[in-house]
Amino acid sequence: MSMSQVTSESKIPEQIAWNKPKRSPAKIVGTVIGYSGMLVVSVFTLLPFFWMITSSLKSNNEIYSIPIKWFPSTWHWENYIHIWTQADMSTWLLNTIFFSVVVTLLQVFTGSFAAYGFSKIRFRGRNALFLIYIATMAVPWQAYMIPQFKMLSSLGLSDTRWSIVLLQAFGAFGVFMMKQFYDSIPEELSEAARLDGLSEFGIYRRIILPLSGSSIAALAIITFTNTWNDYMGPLIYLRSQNLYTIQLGLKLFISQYSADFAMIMTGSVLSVLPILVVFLIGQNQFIEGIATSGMKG
Amino acid sequence: MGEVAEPKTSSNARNGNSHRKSGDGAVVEAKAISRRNLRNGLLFIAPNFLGFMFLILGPVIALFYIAFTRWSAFGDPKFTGTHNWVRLAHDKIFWASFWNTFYYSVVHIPLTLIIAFALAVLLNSKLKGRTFFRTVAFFPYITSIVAAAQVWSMLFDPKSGPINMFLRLFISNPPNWLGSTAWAMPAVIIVATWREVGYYMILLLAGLQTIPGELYEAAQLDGANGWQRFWHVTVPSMRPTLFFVIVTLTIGSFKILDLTLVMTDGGPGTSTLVLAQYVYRVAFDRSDFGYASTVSLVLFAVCMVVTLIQFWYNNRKAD
Amino acid sequence: MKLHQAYKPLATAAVLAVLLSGCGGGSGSGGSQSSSNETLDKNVKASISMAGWSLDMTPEFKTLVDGFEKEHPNIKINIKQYSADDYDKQLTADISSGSQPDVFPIKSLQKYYVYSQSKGMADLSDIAKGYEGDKNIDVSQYKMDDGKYYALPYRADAWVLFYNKDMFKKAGVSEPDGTWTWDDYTKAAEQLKQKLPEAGYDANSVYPIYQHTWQSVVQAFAQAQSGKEPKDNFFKGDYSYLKSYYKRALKWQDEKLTIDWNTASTNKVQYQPQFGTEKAAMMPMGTWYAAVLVEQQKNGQANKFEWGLAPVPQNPEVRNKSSKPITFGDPTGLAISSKTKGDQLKAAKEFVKWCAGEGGSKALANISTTPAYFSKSVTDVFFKVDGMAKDQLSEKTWRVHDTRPENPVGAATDTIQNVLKDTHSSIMTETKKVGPALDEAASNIKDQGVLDE
Repeated sequence: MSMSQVTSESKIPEQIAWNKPKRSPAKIVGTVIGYSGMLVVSVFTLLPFFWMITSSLKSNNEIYSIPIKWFPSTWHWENYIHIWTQADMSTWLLNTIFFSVVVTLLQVFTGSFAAYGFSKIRFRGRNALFLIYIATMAVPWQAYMIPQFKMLSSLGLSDTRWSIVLLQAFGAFGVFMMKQFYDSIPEELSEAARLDGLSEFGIYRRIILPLSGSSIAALAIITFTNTWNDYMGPLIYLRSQNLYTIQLGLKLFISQYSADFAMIMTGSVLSVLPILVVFLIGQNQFIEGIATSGMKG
Repeated sequence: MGEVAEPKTSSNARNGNSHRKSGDGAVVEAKAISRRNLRNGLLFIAPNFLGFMFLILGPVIALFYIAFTRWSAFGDPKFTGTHNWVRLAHDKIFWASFWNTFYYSVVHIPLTLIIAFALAVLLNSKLKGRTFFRTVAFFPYITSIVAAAQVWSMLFDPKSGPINMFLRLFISNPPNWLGSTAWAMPAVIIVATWREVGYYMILLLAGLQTIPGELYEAAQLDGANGWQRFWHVTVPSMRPTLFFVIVTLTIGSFKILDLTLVMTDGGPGTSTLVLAQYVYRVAFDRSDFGYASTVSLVLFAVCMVVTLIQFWYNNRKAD
Repeated sequence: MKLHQAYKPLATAAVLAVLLSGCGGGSGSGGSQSSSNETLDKNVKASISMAGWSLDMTPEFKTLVDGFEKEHPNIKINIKQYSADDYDKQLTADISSGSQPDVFPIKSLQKYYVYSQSKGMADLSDIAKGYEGDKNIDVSQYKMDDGKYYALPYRADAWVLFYNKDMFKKAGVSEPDGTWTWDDYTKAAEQLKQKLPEAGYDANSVYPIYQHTWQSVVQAFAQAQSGKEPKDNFFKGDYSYLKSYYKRALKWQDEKLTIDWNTASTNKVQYQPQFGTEKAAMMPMGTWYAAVLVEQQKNGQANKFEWGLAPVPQNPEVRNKSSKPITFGDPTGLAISSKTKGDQLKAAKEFVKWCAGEGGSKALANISTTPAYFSKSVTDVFFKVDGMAKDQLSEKTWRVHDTRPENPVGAATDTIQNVLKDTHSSIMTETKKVGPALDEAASNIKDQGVLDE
């Protein structure tokens, strides 16, 4: 298992093959093979994305053709202009940004808060309550979305911004994820802080939160991506055009009988870019080896 | 958010550990602590729980009732007792989708877990260009699923696809992939794994980051080799994260829907029809929300059994 | 008792949810507002909402609304955008919570049947009566067992055979004459297969016919042309009438007369470019494709060639007793919410009546959309459109046919359709033989327990 080799070595930088000042030819060959292997895998991984981009520049009838066409016969840059002028992309973008940001903030905030309760405070019924959270994840949404819709609708919330925010922000996922990350933070840290007379909220804010940068980043990336890409939620809840999200807008924009696939691909490319930005910002939080030792004081 | 419960005395600060003490004072004290913990615990949970209860738990509980009714989404559900359940037992399509889901999960879960874990460990190292490779690994998850399905269909094409061209170097009769009942599911599993590895890699990466570096240093001093350090430092420290990833991966696999919908629509025949898609069909194609809820409950029960086993195993290991 | 506190909210939620799922939608009456044959006063202003889809790309809704508002300046109609693909999901949610728009389209007869059980649609029998004796329009498909109507058609698409006249001429094969059976169709396809390459068409990518992947392309023709009533085969659990249709469909793909189903399905082949870019000489398709073809030939997405409409081929085994060719196709209708009352109800009824009649139909024919009202003047408008097929056969094909519902309508329909969909893919991928696959379908449908109901 060469993977584990890499892990453990990675913790002691001097031993990493590619960081070593003196290299044996065998290791250089190994490194070259390793990197070329990874590059091949990367190409394979990126191929569908590449096809998505070139398809956005094709004419509609060229996209689904046999055999598959990798490059357009003529480059249709006007697809991008068309979508900006014909479709209401700027409204959709703003709405989607609003939903994704608000949902991500709520999910991270309430999720990490509840997770602290589940992870660091022992109270009766904790496990049962937590299991109920997980249990709801096991129910397919399409089965209960009509009862849920009727409920929100009877409160007058369907076709409002609130519906999408409420729908997405309180899922069990964030609580579960953050709880598990808090579980891996040694109990002694919070115990010691309690002995020092810190309140529970103080422990959460001063001890636990500063340690959870990478997990909050992971939760934020995933929540943001999922909210951004959600189609069914907005489909069922939103009817007013000024509330449309990107996924909903694109799908409603295309025509029923001459399905405009070039436009779908153009929209998909445009809608992926913001996610990439969030991903790149978020992954800056993944810095190797944050030391919990410093906190033990 | 106000400060929660400032503990003043040092004995209070000992938190939950004090119930082991005997004597009247200790019992009273333990009760006080337990009450305070309950209050604090609920206060922390409240902001999320209130939303969760009304928006998710409520409708989910309603589903438990609807599963015993006939309901077309209009008007009131009509209670039919065990009618749906009897029907379920004789429904061959349900059983086909049940076993398909099982097949998918049993292969997809370990495959994804191993690759994602290996990738996370690799990309947690000081590898040059790791930012680039991490981003690359996440790409499949954000690529439009329609585009992904299209390119993979081309790759899997029995006659002209590169996968079979490669296989023909070794075997004369490569599989018909999406056009065959035996090979459609493996093809779906391959694409699902390709798509989800980056997603779970991110979660595992976040977990790896919480492992204190000095644990490795200590293991190093004890003379542990790389493999031993992986098993005795990385894996135990990752237990909470692994539990989370395995449970979400399990539930996610049992609930797989969008990929089969786009790639095969359940076919050929029912060979890639999965439970969630069956629920979807029964609910929206047939407007039979009662029976769809019944099928959902089976899906729910399977997920819960697997989750509870993991829960129990995890708690036992953690103690 | 602490436990009690923790679970109290749960119990409350449970009760609440059950209560809520019970109330809400469907409480509207059947909507027998029989007082409203009287029309809306010209001086009373009314504003109603209406559902539509793909508004920027599909002009039909805007055309109808503009045409109507011009004649009725006191009525204002606001179109709400719904999804073309997932319209019925949205409408199901709407009706279940009682928030459907005043006027909404009904995409298929089967869904009409489902919604008619919801009490979400107003009774439109009074308007329908006005059209009942009219030879130019068929409203009977919306008549329920109790004699009531809850929707009226505004579009009446039917399946016809699109064919490329240029390809036939170049290959020297004789064009459809309006009397074809499926055997004649096969014969013509075989001739084209031989002669198209000689006429300079690429043998690898050009096929004589294109059979789209939908189950209706085989099953709905078989049902409509079976010579039996649905209650004697479809609802009885006897699907042997599909056998000869599947045998032919398999023969076509085995002889490479069409792209094989598996390739078309996994590659998501679209039918518009297949016919539009001359990759197929013949294609059975709904008349809605005429509008798309006209548009695509104009904007260059389709090649320029001469094309025509012919009746779909008939069953060679069962002689058609009527004088009209038998095909299938669901009308698209308009329904009114049972929640709509007063002036708005009057305005909505006026609109629905107008859309079904000559006024709405002319407006639609002008944008090459097949309307519900086939009078002489509507037909003229339709065929006067620039780029439309011009010959006599096309006109007769478009106007005269015996159209059956795409799916026989009933409580069991959706379940049967669902099972037959899997059967379709089993047979067409040739992973199961026709006979055993149909037997299995029959047994699976029986297990669902829907046939007796």
